[in-house]
Amino acid sequence: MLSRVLVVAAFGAAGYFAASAFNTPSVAVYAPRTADAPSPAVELKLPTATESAFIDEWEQLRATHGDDNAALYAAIKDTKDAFRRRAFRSAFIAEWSMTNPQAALAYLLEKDPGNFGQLAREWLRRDPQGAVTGLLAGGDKARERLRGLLKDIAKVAPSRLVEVLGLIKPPGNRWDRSADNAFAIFAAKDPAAARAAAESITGEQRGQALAGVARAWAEKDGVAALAWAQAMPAGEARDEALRAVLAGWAKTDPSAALGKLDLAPPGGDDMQHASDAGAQVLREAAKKDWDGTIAWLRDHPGKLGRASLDGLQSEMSRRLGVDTPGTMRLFTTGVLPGLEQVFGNAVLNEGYLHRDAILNWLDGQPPGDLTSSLRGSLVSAMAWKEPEVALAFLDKLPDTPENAALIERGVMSLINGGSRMDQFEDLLEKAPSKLRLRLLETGFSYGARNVTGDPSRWIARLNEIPVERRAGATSQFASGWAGTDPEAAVQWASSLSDAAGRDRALSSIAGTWAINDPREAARWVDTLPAGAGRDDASQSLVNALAKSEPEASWTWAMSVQSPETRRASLHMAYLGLRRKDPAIAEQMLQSANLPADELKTLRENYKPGMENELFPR
Amino acid sequence: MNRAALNTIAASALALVAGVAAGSLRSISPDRKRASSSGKDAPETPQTNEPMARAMKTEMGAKRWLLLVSAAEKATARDMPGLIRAAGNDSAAVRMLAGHWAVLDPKDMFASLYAELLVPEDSPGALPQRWTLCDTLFEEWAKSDPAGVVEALTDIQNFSARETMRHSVVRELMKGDVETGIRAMSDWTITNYLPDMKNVAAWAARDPRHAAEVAAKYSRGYAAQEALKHIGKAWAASDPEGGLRFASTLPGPSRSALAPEILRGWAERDLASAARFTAAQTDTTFRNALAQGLVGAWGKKDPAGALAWSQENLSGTARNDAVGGIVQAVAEKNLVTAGELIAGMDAGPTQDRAAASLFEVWFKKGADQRDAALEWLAALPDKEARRAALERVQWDWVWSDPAGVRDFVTGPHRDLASSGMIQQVARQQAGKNPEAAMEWAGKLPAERVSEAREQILQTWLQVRPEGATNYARNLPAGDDRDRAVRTIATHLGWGSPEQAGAFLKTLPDAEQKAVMESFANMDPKHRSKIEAAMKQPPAK
Repeated sequence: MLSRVLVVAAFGAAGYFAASAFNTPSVAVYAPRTADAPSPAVELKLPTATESAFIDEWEQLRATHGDDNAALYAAIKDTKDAFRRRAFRSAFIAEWSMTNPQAALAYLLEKDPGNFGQLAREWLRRDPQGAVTGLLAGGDKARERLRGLLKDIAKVAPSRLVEVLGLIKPPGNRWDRSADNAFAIFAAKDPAAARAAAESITGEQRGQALAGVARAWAEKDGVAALAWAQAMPAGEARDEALRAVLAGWAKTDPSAALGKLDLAPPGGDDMQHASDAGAQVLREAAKKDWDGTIAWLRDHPGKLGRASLDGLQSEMSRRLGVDTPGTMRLFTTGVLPGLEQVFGNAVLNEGYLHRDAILNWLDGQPPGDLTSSLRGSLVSAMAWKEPEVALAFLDKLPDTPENAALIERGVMSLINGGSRMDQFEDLLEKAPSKLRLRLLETGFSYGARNVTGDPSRWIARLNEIPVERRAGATSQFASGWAGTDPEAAVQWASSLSDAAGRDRALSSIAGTWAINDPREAARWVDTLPAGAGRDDASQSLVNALAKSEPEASWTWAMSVQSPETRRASLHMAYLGLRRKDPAIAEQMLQSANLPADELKTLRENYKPGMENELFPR
Repeated sequence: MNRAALNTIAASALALVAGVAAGSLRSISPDRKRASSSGKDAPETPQTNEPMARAMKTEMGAKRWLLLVSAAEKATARDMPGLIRAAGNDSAAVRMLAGHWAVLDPKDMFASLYAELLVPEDSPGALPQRWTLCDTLFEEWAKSDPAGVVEALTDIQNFSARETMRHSVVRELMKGDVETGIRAMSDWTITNYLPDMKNVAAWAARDPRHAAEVAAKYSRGYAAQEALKHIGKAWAASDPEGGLRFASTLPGPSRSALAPEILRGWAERDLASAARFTAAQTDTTFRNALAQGLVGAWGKKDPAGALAWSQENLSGTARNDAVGGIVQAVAEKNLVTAGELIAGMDAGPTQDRAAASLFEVWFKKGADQRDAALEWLAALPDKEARRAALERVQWDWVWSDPAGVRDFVTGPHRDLASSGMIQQVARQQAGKNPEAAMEWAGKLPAERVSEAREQILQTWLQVRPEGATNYARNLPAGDDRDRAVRTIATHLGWGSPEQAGAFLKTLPDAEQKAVMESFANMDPKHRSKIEAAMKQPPAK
């Protein structure tokens, strides 16, 4: 028995070592070691030219060009192989930074400024103080590049940050946080020195420097950092520092930071997603302690608004993958209003990765408004990110009333409210028959302005629209076409056999035309025979002119024959006149010789301030 | 052979297989195990080339680099992560090693980076500078095997970095293999990314028709339209008439991108032929598209002639666009001449558009020109023209100089500011400090105060509803308070009936009643939720 066991074991061992032998990676010159087995600190030796083709080539290059650094640099730059080129260039820049950094700086700024940063970093490694002095003395070209090196300077020569910031231009864009980041690095090492340095800055970088210190300090000692920020004089710099304290503090003590949110004004950039203090704190707090952060939000309803809640987006995206049911259940409990919007943003971004798991979870839930809303967000994301997948998904949905709204939303999202009409033809070609009509109607309604590059194609498509909705689609199309070629649109619309559809199309043409060229439009409307068509076109003209040319609008309104259209037209023109000047409006009203009932209706229909709501200034 | 012997042979065979499997597993480097892990598993401890890491910190000058290079020279793909970790945050070193790894085995590198990207950037042992690594991989791979890199990025399952990676691949492909780049953009539904197009013209020049066919066939999004414009420029140099004949067969957006560029290039060389061709077109839409290219080129040499032609041959938007373009070209050279052209036009949308073009050029000449440009704008008789012109610069201005815009809306030309501008500034001010913003709004001209405060309140509600509601509650009775209460109730009402109810019940009865009346058209289910919340006892 034992011998059998040994035979089996021997075969096993043989297999193991055979496989290992075949798979053992070739050993590099310097064998890697595992991180948990520290190796003795031996000094690595350079291989000789005989041992290394690279070293051989390097030595030949050096020998060929001697002390002519410019020629050597140019020769390296001409090396075809990218690895050799990068390697030799880096080695040479490092060497030059030791032998004559000023000459290297002058050469690179003139011949190859793209490698300025590498020289500067090599110089800063070797001689931080000398490098800062040398770089500042390198003229405007060197100084304008120093902003990109602030973090490097913060690491090796933080005491020079204030001087450097005082000599370089302020950042050219509002996203630049280089001073903030540099001072955060400084403060992480030495909060007191960083604080003193930041406080000594007087220019527009002061706020960023203080914020950088505040954030890094608060990570270590939130209470002290907060007290320091609160003691600053009131103003934008203080507000920025307070926000930075809370964001930094949230990294290590989320509940303390959340509890102090009221101490900082909300902040936030109108053009930057989730940038207010609440969002920043939530972002860090959720990362550190998701459950605690959610509990805090539940216990403080109304403390933070929807825009702030977007700070949860990144962590929510992650958690949708780690724990789909647990994360999704947050929505069904309904304790955190506004969280559905965060979900919508999450699945439009990184959360989309977990699409299938989310759909599976949603499929297991009882139908309701909430699951419809969540499914709708996911379908919108699908339509935006993978339109063909969305088409297939929508096609497979059973025809139920709940799904009708979902399909509608999905189809609208496919062309993103008209902004993706350039993909329309492709989508229409791929659309399954069930979705074609919806897509077409959405195309007419959303993309009217963009469909007119090829009118004949769209004219033919009108026949696919059900009769009861065709007039609407015709009108939308006519309006869009009128934007680029009103005469052609008029010619086509006039040839329509259905009188109601024709009048509606002509009316919408008049509206678009009047916006682009009121004189031409008015000239054309004036050629129309009296009747409903002319009245509708006149009304469109009235609406288009009411804001910009209210007197002309009034004149056209007076020309309308149909009582109902005339009443609506006069009302609109009157609002335009009132917006321009109430006195003129009154004068026009008095001199219009309107029948008493019409005058009474006009006056009764007017409510103070209506004109400003309709035509904001 | 007896049963026992058979059993021993079978067991030995199984042991051999098991041994091979175990041996194979043993020799897969930790990095590859990371690559095969799902991201939810705990990653293996990754390797770092420690002696090299020490050398990278302590050595100076060329030696530091030569040590790294000579190690990389003998390294296999599997050794590269260890060396890259040793290089740490030295971006030049990481880039150099990444380039070498990408040449050694791009698929191995891609698998490793994929695994890296599934774990957080600050995970223990994560590769440094992951995006530098990705960019370098795609730069090399797109050059050496364009089809391979496209296949890899097509087959990879969706994950958070896939889109960014695809953009990176497209950017590199467009440098060397434009056709593959355009196809990839279409296949990957990339519509909101514009890679560098400078190699499109050279590609198109070799066979413009083929290039246009490819770009039109795979036309998705802005990038394909831009590619068509570059192709148009190239085609104009060799066979403009042929190009235009082809363009006329394309669907609208592709035609509008290609045709004007061909015409523009043609007109720059042979204005008379280009104008004859344009005027001869019977399809108005096509002629209008061509006209943009024609007058664009013509306007630079003879603005008056181009203007006269536009007034005579075009109408509606096409005329406005063409005239606007001519005036813009003239204004860039000489503002006075542009002003004279505008003065000679009939009042109306065409003149308004031209005025907007002049103003935009003038305003963008620099901060020192802004006052003069605004002065000129303020003197225009038509209010709509003034508004439309200012709208052309509004977004950029608010973006680049928020403090300047804030001063403008209270300065001497404040009447020029549109509602949109006031609202934008109000949102910005509210973003900084809503209470201070409310004070600022109070100093605006009387007719602007309400709309500014409304925006401030809306912005406030988006970030700190509690602060906004406290503000409203403390307002004295009057129009301001009524408006604020209505705004808050509506905002909360649609977002959270519970919060709306909690807010409303803190108000006097008359206010509650007025707000509920304004909710008359609200979904009854929603409305009853608000009413129920109003009956809840106050939270402790």
